[in-house]
Amino acid sequence: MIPVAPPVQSYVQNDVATIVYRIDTTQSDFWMQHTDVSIFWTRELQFRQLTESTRKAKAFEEGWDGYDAPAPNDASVARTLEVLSRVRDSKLSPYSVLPSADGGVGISFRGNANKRAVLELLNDGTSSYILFGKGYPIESSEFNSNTDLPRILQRLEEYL
Amino acid sequence: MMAYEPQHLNNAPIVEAMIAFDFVVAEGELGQIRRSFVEQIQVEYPTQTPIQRAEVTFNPEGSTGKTNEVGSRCVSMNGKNVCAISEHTFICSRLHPYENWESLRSEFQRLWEVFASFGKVQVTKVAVRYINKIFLRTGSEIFDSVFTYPKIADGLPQDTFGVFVRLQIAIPEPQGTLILTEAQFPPERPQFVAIALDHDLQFPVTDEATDIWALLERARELKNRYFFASISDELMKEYL
Repeated sequence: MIPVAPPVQSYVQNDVATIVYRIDTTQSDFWMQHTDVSIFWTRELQFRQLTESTRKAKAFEEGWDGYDAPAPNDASVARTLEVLSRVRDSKLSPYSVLPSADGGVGISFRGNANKRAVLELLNDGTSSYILFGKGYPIESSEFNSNTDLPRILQRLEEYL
Repeated sequence: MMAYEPQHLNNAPIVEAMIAFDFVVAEGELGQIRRSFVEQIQVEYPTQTPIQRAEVTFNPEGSTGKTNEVGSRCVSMNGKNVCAISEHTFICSRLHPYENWESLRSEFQRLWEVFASFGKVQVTKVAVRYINKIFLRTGSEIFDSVFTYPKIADGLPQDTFGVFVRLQIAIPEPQGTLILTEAQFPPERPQFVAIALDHDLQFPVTDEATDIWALLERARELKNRYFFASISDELMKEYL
């Protein structure tokens, strides 16, 4: 039979995490053999890891930063996954996905000349971006992740 | 079996097409050749980054590590064409949307001739690699669409949600190797499963096969034949 969609919940249940990690490690070993030459496989592996990082963000508990940072909620994680799928179709290559101290998830990018960008998808439903780098003016704004994302991704491509 | 073999699919599911030469140069010359080459193509391929190789050694006294620059990756203005040079390999990639063989081949040849103009370079292997991403409806019979795929023993559960296949197949004439890779992707579209069909054809340059451009054309013929032999007519019609 055609493979079925994986049981997504298994990726976020702690009790099966060891097994999932082991499978992913095995697959990554294979995939790594392709990453030195294929742009496509390199990007697939990268987004696979970013997707996993996003799902694992839900495992962070309140106060994870040693202060009182809220844990990312289901909504912010789901929106981050949506944004990642859109980023995947762009020229952008995220550097990391991590919980945000403001409650939510942040997607980080690194560009030329130490330029940086961060997209934040917060627990309260708001989204924002910030562009910064030594010698460059800081640019930041909130945006609607449902309607403004193409424009924001274009801006990041230009900036980075 | 395929009833016909169209030469071009207007909506080919190709996500990356690559042509590559393996080569040798005189010891110590590659760095200068590579630097001259990337400088020469900088206007057309402005995003240039080093390819680095990290080596970590573990031993009872501790671990040591070092990073070496072993090549360069150059990306075109539109981000769709990539030229990468590593220690022994010269590669041109075309990312989605794929245009056609002629444009990829002519760009490869143009860049290779620039590269080879900076030193004495001998080609040792010719390779063509096409990576396709195909979507199959969940619940259908996979062998109706894709003809090379793992068969699960009848006594086992049949629903899979992770697949990775890598086969090395000998190509008889001209002598070479087909590295066939299939992998299932995480869900992207409701009711569909995405599968990579990756055909990497490699041919050593031998005394019997010294014309590298003729060998490349032969590689192209075979990659077409192998692709059309790998999927059903019904699936292929979706890409016409």
